[in-house]
Amino acid sequence: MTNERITLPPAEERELVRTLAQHVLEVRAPEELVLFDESADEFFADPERVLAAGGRDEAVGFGVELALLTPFVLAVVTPVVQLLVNMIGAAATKHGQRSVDDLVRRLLRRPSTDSSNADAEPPPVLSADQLALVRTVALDRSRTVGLPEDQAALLADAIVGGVAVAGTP
Amino acid sequence: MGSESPGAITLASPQPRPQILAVPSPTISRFLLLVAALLSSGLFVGTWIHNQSAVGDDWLERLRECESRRPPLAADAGTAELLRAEEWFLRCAQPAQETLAWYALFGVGLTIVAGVAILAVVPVVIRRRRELRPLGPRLESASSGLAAIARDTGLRRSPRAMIGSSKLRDAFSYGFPGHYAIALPPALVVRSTGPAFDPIVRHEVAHIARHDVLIAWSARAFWIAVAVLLAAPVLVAIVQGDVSLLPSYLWRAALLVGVTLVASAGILRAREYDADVSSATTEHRRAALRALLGTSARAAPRVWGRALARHPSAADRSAVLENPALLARPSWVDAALAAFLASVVMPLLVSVFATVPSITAWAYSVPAILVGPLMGATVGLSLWRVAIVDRVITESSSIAPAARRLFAGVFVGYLLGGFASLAEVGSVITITTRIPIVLLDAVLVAGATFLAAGVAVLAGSRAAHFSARTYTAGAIALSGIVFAFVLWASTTVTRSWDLAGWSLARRVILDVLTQAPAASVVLVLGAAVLALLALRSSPSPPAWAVDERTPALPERAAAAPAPPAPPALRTVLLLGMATGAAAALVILVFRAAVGPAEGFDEQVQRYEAYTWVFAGAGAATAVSLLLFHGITGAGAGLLAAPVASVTSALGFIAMNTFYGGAVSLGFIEGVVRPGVVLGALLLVLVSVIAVLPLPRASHARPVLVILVAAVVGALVAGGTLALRDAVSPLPAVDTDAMAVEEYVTGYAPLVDLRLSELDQTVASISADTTSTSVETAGRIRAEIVSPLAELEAGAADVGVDDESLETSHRVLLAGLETLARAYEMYAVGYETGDGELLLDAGAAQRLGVQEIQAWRTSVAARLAGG
Repeated sequence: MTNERITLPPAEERELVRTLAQHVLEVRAPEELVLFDESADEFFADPERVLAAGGRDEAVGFGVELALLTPFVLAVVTPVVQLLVNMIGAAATKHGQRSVDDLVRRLLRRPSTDSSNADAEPPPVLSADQLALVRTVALDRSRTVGLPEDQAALLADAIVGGVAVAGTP
Repeated sequence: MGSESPGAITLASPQPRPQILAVPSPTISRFLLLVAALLSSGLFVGTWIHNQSAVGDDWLERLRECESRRPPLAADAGTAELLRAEEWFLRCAQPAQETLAWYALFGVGLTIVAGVAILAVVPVVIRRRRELRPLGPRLESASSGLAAIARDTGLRRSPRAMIGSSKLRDAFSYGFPGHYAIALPPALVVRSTGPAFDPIVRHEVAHIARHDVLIAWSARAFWIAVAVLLAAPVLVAIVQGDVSLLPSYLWRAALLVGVTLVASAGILRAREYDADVSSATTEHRRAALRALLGTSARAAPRVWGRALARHPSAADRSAVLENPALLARPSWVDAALAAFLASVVMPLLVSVFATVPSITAWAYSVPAILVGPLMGATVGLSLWRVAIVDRVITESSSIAPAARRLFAGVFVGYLLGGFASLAEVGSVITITTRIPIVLLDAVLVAGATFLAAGVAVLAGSRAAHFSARTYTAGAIALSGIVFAFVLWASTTVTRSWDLAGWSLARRVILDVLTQAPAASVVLVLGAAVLALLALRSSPSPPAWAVDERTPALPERAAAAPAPPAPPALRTVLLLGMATGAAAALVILVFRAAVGPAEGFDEQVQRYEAYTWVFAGAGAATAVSLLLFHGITGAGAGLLAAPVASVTSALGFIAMNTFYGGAVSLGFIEGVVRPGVVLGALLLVLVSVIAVLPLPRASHARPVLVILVAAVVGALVAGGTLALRDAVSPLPAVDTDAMAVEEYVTGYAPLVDLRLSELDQTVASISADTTSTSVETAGRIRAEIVSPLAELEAGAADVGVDDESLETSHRVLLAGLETLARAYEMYAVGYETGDGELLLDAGAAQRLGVQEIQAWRTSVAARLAGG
């Protein structure tokens, strides 16, 4: 792995974030998938505002806040995807393999954008250390966005599980 | 009144669960008071607009003119002179004052229009800012779930289900009656079969069913309108560089805006408790709601944030769900806020009515009739609610501490409001001068709290005879009457005190407060208490006051200790009669000891002193009742006091007849009525001793209660008669001086005003170029000659003993006669076209004017010389 940081074009990165977030939501909150596209669009338009929402004392409101998990999953998944891109991208560059985007897609078991190489190679596999690092990043980010400790842990596990299961040949 | 901090009343289990919403919470009346306070600010704004315009300049000019011509008063002027001078001034200023009143009403209209306009755009703004959209077919499950709950709750029209963006995390309702909508957070919509959906949607539907949406948003809309309108005078003053009024205006406006904001939040918090209780009617639903509230991660706000919070804490809400009796626990802060608002509204309403002479007679009664029921429904309904909960939960009686809390709140709120009303902006009377006046005002109004509490206990003990609706109506009606009566009396007294000091206030108490309508009010209250006491007291609460899902009533009734009993009807009646008889006996002894009155003035003095004795007998009954029966005694006093006053007055009449006085129904009514009214007012003052930790309604021996009342009545009567010179000072007699003063301060100004009006008529006829000569002649005869002849005839009937004044009066008579003759010559001249006659008429007119001027000068000289 080189020290050079690999970044994907924003649109591609968001696509991967959406993909992994949907993976996680299928496990943690499948009922939210019905509103996933709208929620994701609102999140990407202004992530901080969506995450910091709440605290309003609505007149004739109920007085207890219920937040979607989706924005938090998207917020946590974003650095995870960046981490995965760097992990897989370093190896891909070294061996002259296909695009990072495709490799991550394959890791997440999503259709490749390069149809000529579809299913020609097995998806990349992450080592135990790499998965541990993914969990650490996910856990840290979960805490940063204000999720309670138990939910943060569950979410980190769901992300790691999603990546590990998806990456298993 | 919904409690804000339910506190820690712990209940032994199992407890009967009160049906707390059977008697509605007084938040509606608190809301109406809030709106009234906001709208009354419009009166100030309208007046300010008037004063800023050219119309205001004209008004000022007119008032200056009237003031310059106002007949000055002697230092020892009596009530009649004071009132006559004031009446003269009001008549002089009437046209300008009417215009001012219209501007004030325009200010109210402006506030209403602005508030309604804001209210109308609120749903649009909410939809746009909160990015709300209909749920759509994908989320049909949530839509149908909401509709089902709305049907189950009994809403005729299901609210529209809207979903917000992912930034929306709390559900809320908005819209207008018939077009309500509930905004649901996406996290709830996607979990429409989850455990949170039903409690949250039921809570919101309860808000809609209870009209909370309209209350919340209209309070906010009017608040915004008033805040903006009240800012206008500040901005204009700064722009114009005239900030002289700002010191007295700014803090009052800011306080009003701040208090209404806090009051509005308090009302919303109380409505949240109600919505919780009415939406969770089964133990299963209560458990679900409590569980949901337990998940709330919202941090408890600090003190100021708590005052402005629209929701109580989740812990308090859970506590109320567990024990709804907490909801009946009234808060002194809520009472203070309500009293503050009432206190700022009253003077503004009074000032509008007092402005226009044609409606001045209603200046105190109409504001009291408007505000009194709102105070009654706020404070009284709270107490009646406590009284009924006390019947359900018999382990503790909380009415006395509740009444004391409300008394303290009303006292503090009314006191502050007395200084903070916008009606006092620019007043020449300093705050320090007004302290005793405002204190008396606040004590009287707060004292009404104890009367309402006393009646509440009586009604609570007889509640089994009434339906929930009748009980509620009774609470509002009787408490409203009590507060309206006290507000009317206190405002009348304190305003007259403001106007011309205690001497006028004393006369107003005896002459104005004791009128027949006031006596009727006292009799109505007495009759109501009589009817309540005549009903059989029931140890068990009415079925409507108990949650039907609790154990059967008979079992509880058998297990529960009997609630404390109010005094029996017979005791109350005997106590009143005994106290009245004792007071009458003291009068008899006094009369026998000092003999008959010497002269008319002493007769008047004794009559007034006797009136206070009758009133004191009424108040004495309350002393004994309060001492032996606690707060309940205040309610019973409403019957005992008039009985005592009437008995003592009848005793006096019997004595007077014995000594040879004539008796007629008019005489009896004239003697009895003032004592009855003043007795009721003293009862209000005496009931203030209930702030002390008096015993709970006990089983004191009736004989002792009656004996103590009679002794106190006798002592009060003896003291009043011994201090009669202080109670009713004899006037310094100088009949000649009085006659002269009557002429120069009463009669002369009225003639002067009439002549000024005729001058204006003359100017009007002269300016009329459209009438023919014959028509002009007709107008001169009808509008000038005839009134002059009337004035002349009136002047001829005036007898003047003073020599120099008689000379002046003869000059007036001559002037009136000359003027009448001159204008008759004008009329003939116009009819005949005789130019020479018109010239003669002009000469005669000038002569008449000179004579009138000479009369004016001599009267003014007489005034200046005292």
